[in-house]
Amino acid sequence: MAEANTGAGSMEEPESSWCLIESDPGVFTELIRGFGCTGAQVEEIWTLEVDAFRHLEPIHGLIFLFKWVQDDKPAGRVVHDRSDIFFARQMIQNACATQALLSLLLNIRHPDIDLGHTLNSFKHFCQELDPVSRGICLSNEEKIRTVHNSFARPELFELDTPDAPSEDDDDDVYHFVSYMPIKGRLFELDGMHEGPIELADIGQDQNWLQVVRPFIEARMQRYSVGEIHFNLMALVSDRQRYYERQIQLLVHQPSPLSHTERQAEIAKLRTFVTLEQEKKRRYRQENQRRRHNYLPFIVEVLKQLGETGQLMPIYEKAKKQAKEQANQEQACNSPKNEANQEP
Amino acid sequence: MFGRQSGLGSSSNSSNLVEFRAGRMNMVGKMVHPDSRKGLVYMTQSDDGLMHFCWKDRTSGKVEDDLIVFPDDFEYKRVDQCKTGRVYVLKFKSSTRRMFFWMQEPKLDKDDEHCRRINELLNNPPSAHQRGGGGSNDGDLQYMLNNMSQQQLMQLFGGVGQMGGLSSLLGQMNSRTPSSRNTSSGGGAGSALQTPENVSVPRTPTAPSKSGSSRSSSNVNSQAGEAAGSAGSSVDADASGRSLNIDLSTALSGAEAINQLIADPDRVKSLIVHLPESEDADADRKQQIKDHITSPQFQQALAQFSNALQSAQLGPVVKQFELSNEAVAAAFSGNLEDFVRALEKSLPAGATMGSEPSGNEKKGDAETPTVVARDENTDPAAEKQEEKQK
Repeated sequence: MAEANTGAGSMEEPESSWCLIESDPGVFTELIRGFGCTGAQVEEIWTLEVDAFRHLEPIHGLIFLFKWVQDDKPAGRVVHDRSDIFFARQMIQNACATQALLSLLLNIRHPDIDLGHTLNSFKHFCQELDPVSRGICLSNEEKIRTVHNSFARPELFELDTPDAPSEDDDDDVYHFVSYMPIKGRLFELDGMHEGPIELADIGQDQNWLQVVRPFIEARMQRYSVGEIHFNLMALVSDRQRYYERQIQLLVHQPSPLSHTERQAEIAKLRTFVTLEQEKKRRYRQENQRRRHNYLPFIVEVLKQLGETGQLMPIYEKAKKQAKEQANQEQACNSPKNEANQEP
Repeated sequence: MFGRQSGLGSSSNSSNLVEFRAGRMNMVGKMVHPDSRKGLVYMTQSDDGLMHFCWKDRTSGKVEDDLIVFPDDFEYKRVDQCKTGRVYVLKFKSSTRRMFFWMQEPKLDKDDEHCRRINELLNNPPSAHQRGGGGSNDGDLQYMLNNMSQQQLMQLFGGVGQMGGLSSLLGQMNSRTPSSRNTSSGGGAGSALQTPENVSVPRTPTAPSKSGSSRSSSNVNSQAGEAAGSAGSSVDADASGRSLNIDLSTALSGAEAINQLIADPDRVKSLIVHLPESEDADADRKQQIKDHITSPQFQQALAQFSNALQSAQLGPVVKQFELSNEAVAAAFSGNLEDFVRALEKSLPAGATMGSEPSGNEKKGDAETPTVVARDENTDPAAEKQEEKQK
């Protein structure tokens, strides 16, 4: 009797049909493309110093990944009356990542980004619905779900569950929250709350990142005390397109730069374009690996290592590591417990 | 109570409340293997009134297990799944720890009685004051417990029998109701024993990871929790303390190990077929293999494989590959070490299935590395190679 996904999900059909996926800029970027949306990508950012990511601007929104703490009180007013904001309640834990992405994408109105057919239809379809109904629609939205699930790791083998729950226990606790400016105000979009949360006003000439910074920092502060892992991702315009556009402008338009300067600038931008292409290629490769069933390869590798007499030393080394790990954990759990249990 | 003990003849120790001949069983991975030594299971009450559950080696006389047991902590019962032998398990109620024993009494007519007696003593020990006459020892016990330091209390509850630390300790404390305390020596013991609850429990550090991007593979305690849940045909086994979850990916994270493999073009061929096609048609296959092996996706898959094999569930899966019977058997029994050993004895690539795994039969190919059958190999050249590889 094998369980494909979380044990908890076996009760409801939709729950069990959304897979857990990684939170990785590569995954998110490919997800966006998979949805049929063009002109956007996701980059990871490590600092909120605004100058640090000026080169990525315009930043359309931020996604903050963190360990979800049950007692999260909204940091601002929960809004119920904004029909112009697309907000959906999160109905499925595993759909978290997609939900966070969509909460941004479906609220963006920017010339760089074209939502594409699937997302536009979905948005249109749910326009008049309340957040809960939208959440339900999303969980049943097959096209979106299929793309989402295509990033899940393949089941190498079907097992009776002993392993699955323990890792899912860890994963279940992570949550995504989106931040974006909508019509001059800063909003926090979290499917676990009842509506968008209005955090602050954004001044006419203010960079919204300045405004969001203290809110995110407050969160980071709270979580780093408990040594809770988190990361931050930015939804930005497609970089390669941007650089290519810049090159075109430099080539075809009059410019205050001298000829040499212009050439230098073009060369630099071409390098950036290449880097972006490299990045995309790397993402594709990673996704290929994510989707690949490594079981036959593993068996073949182990078999060959065995044939060449290398497997036992590897096993011994792994065993040693496991012992050390176990001893460390024993020491952590019980101060007086002697590590005397090894056979 | 004191005088009643199972008649065992001259070897009986008069201070034992119950005793019977039984052997121990050891956990190897998730399987339980009998320890062939002649042993004795017995229970005794020490001067401080505490009940001890013990096992000793009858040949050497050495007491190898000595657990202090409190009411409601344990259950002793027959393992029904084991049809072939008279196997009993001492179950720790608040953790997944198990100890197994197999009866060595020549006649099995008293097996049930012994089992009942053990449970009785586990859960309704004789009052301390019946021992040795004189005044009640209740007060002594209470005094002792009241005056133990927290460390001593923790050692008493948490260290004995490797009950898995503070979290299980607290669980055990919380599950004990005051009334059960009162049936044993010392009604006041309840309040004293609550002291550990006030101990601040260091939060078991969980390794935070990117959501979904890494699976916790080597947390022995969580394995223990899951091990208890698996209801396979094998005897339920405890993972903490008696066995380890070994993750092969921790020792195969670099590509050096496979350098020897990819030096051989035939091996490259047989490896590459299991990998997805590269975007780049001209991709260097050797580099490709290396890249895959060092990728986090492969590492996670390998960790998952190690884990699953040790949980004795990969038998049917492994069977589908062309591995030796020994390897398949090891997979069925969840023994990673045996699996590794079996692979080291296995035929080199190109040899046919079904031939003896003697290891040295090849199609007249002297250059390919010889199979290293560790125990049998007398070929000095191969031994030298083996030495080099270590």
